[in-house]
Amino acid sequence: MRKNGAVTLRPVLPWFKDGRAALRQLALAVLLLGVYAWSAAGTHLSISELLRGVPGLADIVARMVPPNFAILPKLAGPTIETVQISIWGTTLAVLFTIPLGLAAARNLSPHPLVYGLARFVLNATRSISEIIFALIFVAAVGLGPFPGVLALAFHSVGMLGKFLAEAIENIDAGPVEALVATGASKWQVIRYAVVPQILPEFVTLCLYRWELNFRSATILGIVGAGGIGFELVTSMRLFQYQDMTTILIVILALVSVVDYVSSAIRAKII
Amino acid sequence: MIAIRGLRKEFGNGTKALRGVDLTVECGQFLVLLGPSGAGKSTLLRCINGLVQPTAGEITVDGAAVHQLRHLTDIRRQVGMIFQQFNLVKRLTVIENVLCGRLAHSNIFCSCLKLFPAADIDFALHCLDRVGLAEKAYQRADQLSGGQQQRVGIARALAQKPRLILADEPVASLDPRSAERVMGILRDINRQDGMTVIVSLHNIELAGRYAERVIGLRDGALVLDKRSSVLSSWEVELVYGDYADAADDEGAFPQVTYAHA
Ligand SMILES: Nc1ncnc2c1ncn2[C@@H]1O[C@H](COP(=O)(O)OP(=O)(O)OP(=O)(O)O)[C@@H](O)[C@H]1O
Ligand SMILES: [Mg+2]
Repeated sequence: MRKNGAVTLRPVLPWFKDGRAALRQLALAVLLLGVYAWSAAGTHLSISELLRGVPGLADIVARMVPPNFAILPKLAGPTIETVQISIWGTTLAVLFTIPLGLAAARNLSPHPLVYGLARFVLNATRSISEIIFALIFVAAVGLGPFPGVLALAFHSVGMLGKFLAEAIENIDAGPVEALVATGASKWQVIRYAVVPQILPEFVTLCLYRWELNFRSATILGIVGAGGIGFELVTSMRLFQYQDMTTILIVILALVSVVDYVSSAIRAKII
Repeated sequence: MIAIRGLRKEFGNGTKALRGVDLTVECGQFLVLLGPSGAGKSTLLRCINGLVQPTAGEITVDGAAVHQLRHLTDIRRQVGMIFQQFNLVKRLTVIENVLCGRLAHSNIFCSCLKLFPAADIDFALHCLDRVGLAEKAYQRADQLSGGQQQRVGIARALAQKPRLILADEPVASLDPRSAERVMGILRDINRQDGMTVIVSLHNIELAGRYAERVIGLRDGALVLDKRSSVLSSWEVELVYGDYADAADDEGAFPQVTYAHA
């Protein structure tokens, strides 16, 4: 094998099964490259453009420092509001998720029609971004943090519900069957055989969703749905880049705090 | 106690698990169900408490027909079931698992808040004491050994105050000593409480020492019904013998029927 330190390399499995497989893979690679080239043209992807932008970028960065900490007191209110939006957005989402997730789990759903409907609602809410929901709710209930809460709740339901349904579908069916065999009612079986099996996973998921929702809550203000995002766009529009830096620092700090709190709770529970 | 007439079960994929089983089990019997893998033992036991819907035939437990929905919960309340894989809720404590046996007798709302009548909790502890696990009551179920978990499974069945216990290969995943202990507990329950017990086993020697009556199932049909625990070698052959030959060939094995006493 080893001669003068040279190592012979050999694939474990042949790279191509036969000539046709090789051709197919080549065609696939060409197609993939084509898609990339096409998308690059569509988006005016260009290194020279990027290089031409560098001075402008440097200029903005230069104007961003030093951060203007004088605005910190003014930021306290919107910051707290952002946290509050994320808390209620997530909590409402969890409340909506529980019935929807149960209905969307094949092994618990009361009827195939209910199952189909629940899956549809979950897919629909997941595919509409929180910003679109925020625009809709701002139009419906007016500017302010409450449409932000609703936007987060509606968008989060999709993901939470899908994962909850999948967690329920993946539980060990043995204990469920054992409890059914004792004559326990459906709700008792759910309480004693399903809930204990999915609870840690679901709590972890909700905490993770809270982290995501906090990040989303920082931009909801851009469309007038409350939180610190409003201050961010205002400072940008007024070219007050030093204020913007302060806001970004506050967001960064808060995201870290939320992530820390969330993982601390998670560690406690599991 | 149990009367089974012409029981057939064909699964959705076309597997004929039971091909016409007739069986009567009297109160207080200790009955062992033998049969090779795939013979239909689990299916038969599951039909008795309605976990499996038979394709044809009728089962009555204490005169109540299992297939009638209004009887089903009542029957399940009175029938305890023990599983090869124990089927405990691993993240709950031992006592909570045992109390699961009382759920069908409890108020739904209170039980969902984990509130039980004091008498039920005392009884659950008593059931644990009977299987020798009173001191483990407040441990999580998954901290127990396999043999201990199976005894919790028995305590859960006992907590139902059942009239009948169905045990589907209760000792198949246990070491010989734990198996002996579990079988011993089942026999005590049978003798002291007069409880009817049906146990499916793979172990002929164990069956020989515990059974009052042995039933042999093969390819979904009863091929042996013996009111004694001693099996002759041809009887063992009848149930287990030369399985490969008969497997694909319907009716190739002798269809022995016994009159019930
Ligand atoms: N849910 C099911 N769907 C389809 N076929 C099934 C199902 N359950 C059991 N069967 C089939 O029915 C037949 C009898 O199965 P059963 O589980 O009753 O056998 P068993 O005697 O308990 O075997 P073992 O000793 O391996 O537990 C087998 O051929 C099995 O594959
Ligand atoms: Mg089985």
